[in-house]
Amino acid sequence: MSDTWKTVKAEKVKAGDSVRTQSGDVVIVSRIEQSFMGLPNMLAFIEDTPDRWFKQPMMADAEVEVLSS
Amino acid sequence: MSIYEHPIASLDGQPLDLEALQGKAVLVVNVASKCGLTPQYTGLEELQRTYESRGFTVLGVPCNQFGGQEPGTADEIATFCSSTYGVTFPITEKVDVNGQKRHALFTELTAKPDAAGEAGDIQWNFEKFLISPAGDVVGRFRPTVAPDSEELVGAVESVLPN
Repeated sequence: MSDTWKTVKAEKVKAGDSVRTQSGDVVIVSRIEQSFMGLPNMLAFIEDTPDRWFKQPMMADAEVEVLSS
Repeated sequence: MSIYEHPIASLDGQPLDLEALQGKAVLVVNVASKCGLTPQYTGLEELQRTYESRGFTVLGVPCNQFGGQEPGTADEIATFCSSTYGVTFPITEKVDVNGQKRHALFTELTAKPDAAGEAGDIQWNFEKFLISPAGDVVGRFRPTVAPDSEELVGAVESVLPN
């Protein structure tokens, strides 16, 4: 079965998901920071792997693509 | 371990002599060219011009870990800083400030708690660390603390050597 990308709201993403943002970047979500910069309608996906540490904030209700098998 | 003992290059690739900063008050800031906070360069340069003669410098550290907002080459970053904001303070090479590849300078800096008592990872672009002339990390200011805020300016003035 091939991997497929599913569109969901950012607030539905879980740690362990791979997320493709509207800019096309793929973030392997290690953890999720709620209320990014104190803003309750924002969150941030954090990729924290040996290869990369990267933080991508999103509106909680923004649509993103999640990789599911 | 002193913050001056962590080698880092300047934006042009030449070693930056951190020991030359000993005896100065230094504001270390992780910077980015395509961030909503990028206009803080204006206030940072104002701090530089106001207090440089009293033994102060800003040290900008480009980082691309926050939303990929510092994607450019060293030349592109240098051109942006000088042409857009007239930056005169030193800028280092692009480094990681969080994660397993975090530069050793930031391992030391991020051990410093902010005003709320929270240490650890840098939140976003334009977080600021104030270093005393003795080399101690004496202040940590989160990204939304403006360079011209009373909080930051007061802290800078309190550690000026001259």
